[in-house]
Amino acid sequence: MTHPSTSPSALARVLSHPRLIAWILGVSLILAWLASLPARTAFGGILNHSKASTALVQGFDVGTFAELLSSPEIPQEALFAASGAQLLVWFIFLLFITGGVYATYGTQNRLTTGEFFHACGGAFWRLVRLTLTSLLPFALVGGIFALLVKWSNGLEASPNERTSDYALWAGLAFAGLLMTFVRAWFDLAQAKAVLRGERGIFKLALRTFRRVTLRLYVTYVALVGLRLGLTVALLALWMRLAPESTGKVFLLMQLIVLVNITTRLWQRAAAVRAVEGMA
Amino acid sequence: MTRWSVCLFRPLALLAGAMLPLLAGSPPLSDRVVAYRIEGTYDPKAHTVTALETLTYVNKTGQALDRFPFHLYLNGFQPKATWIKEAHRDGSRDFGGNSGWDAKKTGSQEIQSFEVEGMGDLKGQLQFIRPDDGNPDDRTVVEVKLPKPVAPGASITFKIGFKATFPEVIARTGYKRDFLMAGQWFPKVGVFWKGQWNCHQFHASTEFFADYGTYDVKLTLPASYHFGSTGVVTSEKVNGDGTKTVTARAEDVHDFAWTADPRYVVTEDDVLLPSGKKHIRVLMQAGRAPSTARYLQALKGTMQKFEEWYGPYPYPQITVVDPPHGADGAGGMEYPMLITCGTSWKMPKGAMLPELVTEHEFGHQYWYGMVGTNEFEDAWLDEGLNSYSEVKVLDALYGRTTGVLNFPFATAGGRSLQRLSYSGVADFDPMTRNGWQYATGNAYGGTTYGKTATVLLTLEHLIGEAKVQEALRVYFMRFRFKHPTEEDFMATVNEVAGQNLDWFWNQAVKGTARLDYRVRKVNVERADWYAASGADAGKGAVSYRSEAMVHRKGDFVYPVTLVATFDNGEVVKESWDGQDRWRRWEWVRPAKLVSVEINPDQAILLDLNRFNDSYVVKADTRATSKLGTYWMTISQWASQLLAWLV
Repeated sequence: MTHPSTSPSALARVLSHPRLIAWILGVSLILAWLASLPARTAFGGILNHSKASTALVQGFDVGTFAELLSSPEIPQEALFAASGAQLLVWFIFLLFITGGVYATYGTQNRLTTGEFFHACGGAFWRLVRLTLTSLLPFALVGGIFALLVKWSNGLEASPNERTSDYALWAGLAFAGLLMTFVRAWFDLAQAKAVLRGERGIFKLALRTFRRVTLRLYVTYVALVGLRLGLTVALLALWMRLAPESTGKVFLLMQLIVLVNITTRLWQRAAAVRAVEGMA
Repeated sequence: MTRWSVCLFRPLALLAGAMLPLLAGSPPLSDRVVAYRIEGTYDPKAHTVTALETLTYVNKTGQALDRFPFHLYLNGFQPKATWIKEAHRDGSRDFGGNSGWDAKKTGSQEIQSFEVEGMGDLKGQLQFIRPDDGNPDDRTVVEVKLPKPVAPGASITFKIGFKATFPEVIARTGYKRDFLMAGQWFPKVGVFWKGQWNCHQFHASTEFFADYGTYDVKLTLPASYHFGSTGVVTSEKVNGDGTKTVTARAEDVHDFAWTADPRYVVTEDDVLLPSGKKHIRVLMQAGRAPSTARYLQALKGTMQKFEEWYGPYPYPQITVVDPPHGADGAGGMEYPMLITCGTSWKMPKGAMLPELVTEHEFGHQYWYGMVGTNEFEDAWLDEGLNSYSEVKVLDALYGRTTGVLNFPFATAGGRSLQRLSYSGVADFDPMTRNGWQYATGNAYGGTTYGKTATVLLTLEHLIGEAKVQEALRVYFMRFRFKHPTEEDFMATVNEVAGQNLDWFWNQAVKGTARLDYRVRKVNVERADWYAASGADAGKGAVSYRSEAMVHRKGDFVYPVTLVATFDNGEVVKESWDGQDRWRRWEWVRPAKLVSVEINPDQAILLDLNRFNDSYVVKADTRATSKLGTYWMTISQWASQLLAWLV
């Protein structure tokens, strides 16, 4: 069986559908803006007519912000509830469009809007079941990570202060690699469910476990590294921006979100290429 | 300084210490009530010190004394002791409220023999007393009744054999692996103060109180251990059996603490102050070299400022101890001539924690060390004055808004954090409350540290920064090596200020009133608002009627200055005594009101809500927009993390 190089061709598929990226970014932005409305209203009621607000514009004074948050006029629970609701809606949105994303990358032809949403709806419940199934291995990885944290805490007794910290970081990295494998595994299963119409979700998941190739896994790991690296680089750039340049900060932050969305889509496209390469 | 220089400076430090007796010709700095001689052996495997303490007490009370109470602080670390009871109830930085009891946290001080010169063995006369809460299981104060009293002016010598068992680090003392911080490790006599013995039980939120005197301590410990202590090491003799005996002497101090750890990396340095050259010893954990420089820089800067502002540091040396990881409970503590700090190998430059803790703990050399206030009853006099000094020194050395956090994306200064700590507990307890009687540990911390600092910073607004500094200087010089009271402090400030500030002290120090003035309403309209658009309206220059109302929301009465700014650049200042519940001002002029402010530069730091101290007519949404953008961004990032599950 030939294994075509998945990375560049997968990227090509992602970049050939820029509207999909823009659409996902747009929905993310709108949902986040809606989630921020209660905070804007609450903060605005206190800050908009107060000279004390300058401490948050020219720089960011942590003391001022802490005082703002602890003000009785700020309904903290409501603010976080709004963000929580946004996360839930986003989660359902992503689940819904995943079928359409795989269908888009899995066809040579450009899908119409109706075909896109047809693919979304057609695969939705299978993808829900696959997501629920994936919680098991993710929970297992979480458990392994918890054990690693406990182990690293036990190393606190070592005279070398760094031992425990190094162990924790190594554990984090190991857990990250395991999570990436689980992600690649279930992306592959999702792609098969959508592109090949496969059902019997639990058996699909078990069968797909052995089909995760080294090439695909390495692609996923590399993309995680790229995502982290670019995010860190952009954050370093953020630290150089003047504190009052809110517009530039907004654009930079959206660039970070764009990097995250694009690399995630790239991973999915790589899974599609892997399915195409299967017998 | 590099490690090789330890070889050069160590002998010099010993020489300096050895010369101390020669310098004894200089007059004592304090009324030396006590002279402790302690000779003991440290067993690092059992975490114990077995020692003989010879205490000579000079009765300068003017009364005959027939009983003497002693603190046995280490007994506080037992499950039923008052300290643990209170920590379990309120939580403490060292002991979580819901933690089970860990036997390693047990400490004890056992008196094995108790003789009094001329009176014989009085061990049978020892009785535990509980003057504060009557807890029958608390053994942190023991009292001896003498068969015959000590006459005024006479002295008495106690010979006390004791064994101190250290807990794993808790509340500033204890061991962790091979490290030991030995604080409150010997039986310590109480203070005869205000006509009676003052010897409180050990409480979770209180510290200590003792008389000034001299300490001569001789300790035998493993030869591989580095040793640091209050005072100066005068000799170090290797015994040939794997141990060494270290002798240290301290004069005109009210406590003696020491530390030992084979892993210390020792750095010796000096600082030249107006009062002369002082030696610095830093006992650092390996792998934290960058923080050594930070400690030294902060310490030297702080010492310079304290001498410049308050008075001389008279001792020859200061030792800085860096506790190891896992022993954070031993960090951030002061003893005469020895301070413990705190850092980690990954402490970023912009997190000024090493600097802050070094500054704060050195500051205690003045407020507590030399001005020996009662930390049980008047905790604000040391913690609060020191927190105020901390803000001033950090401002001077590292910037007013960057003294605590200094990152490109976030900053924080000392004064806003002091205020924040107080604002959450503003109406709980007065500053004058006894340290163990606060509502919660947070109330104790927020009031003694944060509120006191905030009160003194607000005092700058009342009488001027220079006057406050002068008052503290006078207070220090007048009461160093003494035990002043709250009234002494407030009277000194009144004297220096040249005015009676009792109206301020009664509210700020002795009361719990909240200070909150707010700009409640601002209105701007044409003065001829009643005129229809026609003949009467708009003829000639337009006149505007501007109005502002200030409301005293809290119960604290404080004079207020309102600053009104108009769009023609005019600035008007109006004064108000702040007595009534509200006050309205009105201006009619050919200019519109742009803003009003009642707390310019946030000088009235006690005002609990800085956001309502001003009103800008034209909304400035930049801060809201910025916070909203970050809120959105964090929501989006959280969404991207969630995308990993789909």
